Amino acid sequence: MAVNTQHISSIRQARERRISIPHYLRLDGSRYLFGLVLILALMSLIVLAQTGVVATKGYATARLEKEKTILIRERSQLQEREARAHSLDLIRRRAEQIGLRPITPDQVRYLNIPAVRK
Amino acid sequence: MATRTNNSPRTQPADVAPPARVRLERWRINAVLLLCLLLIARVVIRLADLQVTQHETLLAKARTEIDQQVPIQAQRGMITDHLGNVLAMDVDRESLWVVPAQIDREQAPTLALALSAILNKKHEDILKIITDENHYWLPVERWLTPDVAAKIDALNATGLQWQYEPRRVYPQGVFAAQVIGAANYNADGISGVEGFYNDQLQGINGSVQAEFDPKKNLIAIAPSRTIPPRNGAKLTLTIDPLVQYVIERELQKAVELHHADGGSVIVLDPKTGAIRGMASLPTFDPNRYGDYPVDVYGRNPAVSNLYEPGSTFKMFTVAAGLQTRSFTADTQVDDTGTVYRFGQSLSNWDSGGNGMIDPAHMLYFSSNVGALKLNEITGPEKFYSMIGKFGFGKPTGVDLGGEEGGIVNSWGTSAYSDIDLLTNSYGQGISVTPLQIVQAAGAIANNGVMMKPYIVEQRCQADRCIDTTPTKTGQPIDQGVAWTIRRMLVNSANHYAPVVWAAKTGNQSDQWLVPGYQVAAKTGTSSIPLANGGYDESYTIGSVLGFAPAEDARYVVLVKIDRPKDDIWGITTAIPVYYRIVDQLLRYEKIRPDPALASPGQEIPGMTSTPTP
Repeated sequence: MAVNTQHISSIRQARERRISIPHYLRLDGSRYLFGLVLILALMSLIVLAQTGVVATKGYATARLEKEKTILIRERSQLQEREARAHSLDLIRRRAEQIGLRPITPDQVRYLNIPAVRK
Repeated sequence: MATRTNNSPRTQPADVAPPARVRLERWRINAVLLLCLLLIARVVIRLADLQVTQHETLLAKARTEIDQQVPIQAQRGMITDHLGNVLAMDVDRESLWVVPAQIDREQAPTLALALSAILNKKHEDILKIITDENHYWLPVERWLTPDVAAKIDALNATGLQWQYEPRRVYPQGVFAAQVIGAANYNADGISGVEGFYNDQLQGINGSVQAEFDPKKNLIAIAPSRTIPPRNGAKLTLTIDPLVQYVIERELQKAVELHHADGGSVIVLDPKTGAIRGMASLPTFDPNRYGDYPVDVYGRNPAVSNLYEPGSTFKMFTVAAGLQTRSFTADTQVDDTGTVYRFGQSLSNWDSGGNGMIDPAHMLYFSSNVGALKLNEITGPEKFYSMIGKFGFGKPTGVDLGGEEGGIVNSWGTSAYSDIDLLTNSYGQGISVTPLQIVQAAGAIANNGVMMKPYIVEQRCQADRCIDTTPTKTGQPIDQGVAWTIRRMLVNSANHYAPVVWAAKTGNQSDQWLVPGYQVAAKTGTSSIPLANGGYDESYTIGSVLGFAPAEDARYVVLVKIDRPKDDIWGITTAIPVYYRIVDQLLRYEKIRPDPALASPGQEIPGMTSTPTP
């Protein structure tokens, strides 16, 4: 392989040489290869990004599922507390604690409510 | 290295010597290239080995690790009462597990002591578990309530792990326990509604077939297949919570007061067959059914226990004769107090006679001799045919597990003997379940139409609900016969009212059992057969069977008290319970009392009493 060496001029000289950009962009047939590689790389990046997004959303979904499970558990526990509170025995005891008592016979009143014709 | 010139660019001479060429040895370049090629080749070969040669093996290993089928447990269906109050439900409870290898040996005794105080278990047992290094993972206590779990969590001890497990919970404890039944620790129903409807309550588990990471998170980028679980059906019972509460409380008070062995109370809607209340003692707490004997949590005495109904059965003796036109309401028989038949002496409860009596007075005096003589007129063929139509000798078909059919030595069977026709007339020598006799009395209350009892009024699966349709099982008697018997039973009820009212009214004569209302009732004292023959001389079963109001009845009520220790006849135990239950139920139904239906000395609250200012 031939090695080309050239005199390395100073910065001022380099500036004055005015490097010709088109000279380096003259790819001829290689531009198509570069283009293909670029497209493939882009597609790979897109697939990678999508996979990452889906995987991230999957973990987010899993977190939400866990939250849902926790909330369902809390709801069951609240339902259980509510069911216990509906116990008539408990209601009677609480009523007695706050001073309520079963009615005595002389406290009973009967009211006649006439039927309403439609 | 390039050579330097000292010439300035502007003064650079026109002719410049070409830069010196430096040449690298080709073999060095080739060597570097070869090295790179070898490295790349190594990578490519390794890739080929992993991706091609070992593809199947590694794929199988990967699948084993990440490809899993995880079950999704279905939730067991909820059970509620008629008004929607939850009686049974599934709740996730935390179970405490220990990894003994992670327990600090020096802290183990202290930890065991703390846990034993919280869990109310022996310190030595807990210490043995948490220091058992032969096992990686051991349960300490399962299904802890949230407050207990919070206390243990606050210890912040290493080596303790939590796992959620579903647990069947009965928030109202012993309330309607025998109706609901219990589910065991594998979530299988073993008695009551839990047992009968186990398949529908259990539901069907689902599953997820997917890839999971080490933390059991689903890897979303891989395809997955989910079969959703089908949760168990939600059942709504016919049980009215207030009716159930009243009968449980009254039964408890009576059993305690009279030191009885137990008892049962059933309240049935005669028009539909819906069971509004069903209570039995001894009872149990389904939350810890294992603490009770199996014949307590595994049986519902109201449908499983047989007994000889005694005089409460006489209403069916009368019904059989009237319906088959064997006798009329005016037919009279001679009640001599004692008769001799087939070499046996059969007598009334007090051996005293009542003279010539018709069917109404047979019920009124509860005459055994009157009943058997009326049955002699009816005859065995007609009598047992009618008994069969009333549902005796076969299960009612109620949707509760463990129902018995009763024992009837019907005419024409090998077990029949002529004495059975006579003793069966007053409810001895025949075995029934409490629910059977309530169903049969329901026919009398419902103008002759007998309805099939049921306990579940609605089943809901997902969003689809199915209501139970009341089923007519037959019409054993005509409307007229039913009415006639109802009139007789009102008089019978009033005949026993002094048991409740005599102390207050000072009057031992007939009076209204429930002032303001006509209620029907028949008392019964049942002898208890012994295993080796004969009957128990010391104790009996006292019962009252009736319905209220007598016309357009809302409830059929049976009160049965087993072996009260201070009442040989059982009646003085059962009648006051019947009165108190019916009195409360009629007010619950908001049925206005009739002020004319009060005997001297009786009060109708709010009508005949003096109101306080």
